Amino acid sequence: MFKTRQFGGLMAVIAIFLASGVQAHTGEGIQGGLISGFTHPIFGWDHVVAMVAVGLWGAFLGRPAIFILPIVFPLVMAFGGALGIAGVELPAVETGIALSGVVLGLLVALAVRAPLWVAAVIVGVFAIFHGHAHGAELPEAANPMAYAVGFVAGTGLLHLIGIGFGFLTKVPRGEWIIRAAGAAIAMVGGAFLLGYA
Amino acid sequence: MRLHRALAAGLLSAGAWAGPAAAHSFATGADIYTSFVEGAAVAFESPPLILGLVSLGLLVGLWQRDGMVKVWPFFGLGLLLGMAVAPWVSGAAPAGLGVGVVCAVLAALAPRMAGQAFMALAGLTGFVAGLVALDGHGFAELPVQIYLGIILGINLVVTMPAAAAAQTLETWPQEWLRIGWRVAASWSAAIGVMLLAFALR
Repeated sequence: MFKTRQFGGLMAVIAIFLASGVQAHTGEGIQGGLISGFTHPIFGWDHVVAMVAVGLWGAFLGRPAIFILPIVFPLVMAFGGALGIAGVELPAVETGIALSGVVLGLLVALAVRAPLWVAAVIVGVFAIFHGHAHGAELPEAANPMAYAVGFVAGTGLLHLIGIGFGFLTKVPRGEWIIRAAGAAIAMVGGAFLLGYA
Repeated sequence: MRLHRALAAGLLSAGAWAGPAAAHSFATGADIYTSFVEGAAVAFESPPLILGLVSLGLLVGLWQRDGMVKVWPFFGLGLLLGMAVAPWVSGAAPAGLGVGVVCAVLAALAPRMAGQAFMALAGLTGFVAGLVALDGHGFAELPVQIYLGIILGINLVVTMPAAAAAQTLETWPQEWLRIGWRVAASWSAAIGVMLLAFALR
């Protein structure tokens, strides 16, 4: 009986700590805005797989795509984010985001070596959808500067992760590992597209 | 080499800068030094100014090793002109962000564009910076030390990234570092575009 009470007390203390931690996500002030912006692309699997796929595909395509794609993506994504902030409606945003996972994943899985401008256009088009979602879902209380900095840094971090994994193409059988990762990304995108996730 | 030393000294003095001050509502009754610091702090506290000036600095640093020296006269003239016109113009913050986005996009995508365009862009950035820093304050309304502080602060904010980019690229001329600075410029552009959307909505 005593053990049960102790256990209950412990749970109550843990619950109190959990409750205060959750309040950090309201996005208030500079710190809240930064955290909110940083975690927004990281906590959504549909965003994560697409960002990582951009880095992977860039690594697959080699120079200069490995550098150009992570430069193009934030620029165009911010334009999409601006549309979202301004309240401009964009059709089928969630479908576009899910489709980006499927298409970019397949491009990696099939080792498609597209010309640089084609790759930039494909990545740019999908970046608009991702940016729009981030801009439209911005917490009202967030500090704009902090949110924008966190959001861009979070996205860049995911690209770097993709590029880092992409260097596996330099090792024996590494290319097949990357292509398998691309197939997995396409499947995750497909799950979002078909409503399973 | 002297230029590098001067830029390094500028970086150090900026790092040792004192605490914050109220940016656009100047405490005109303060002593000379406090007013000077207050003026200098404007460039460090206003997001439209920071974005625009840092973006120009990155662009110039990526352009040429001594790029800052070449654009400085045009930037300085633009800044003085902007400060002179500022009493008749208010709400120039979106223009500051817009110029910053242009500079950052150029730094990310085409940092080695024609020199004459750089001069014009530096002059325009200086002009808009002058407008944003004073934001409609009347002509000669503020003590002269505040104006001097603003000029110093703005020049520091544009010089620091230019010096950092130019110096690191000279020390480590590897391609990945240049790309790293261009990625930083693209992030700066992305942040600027989003802030512009916030400012205009």
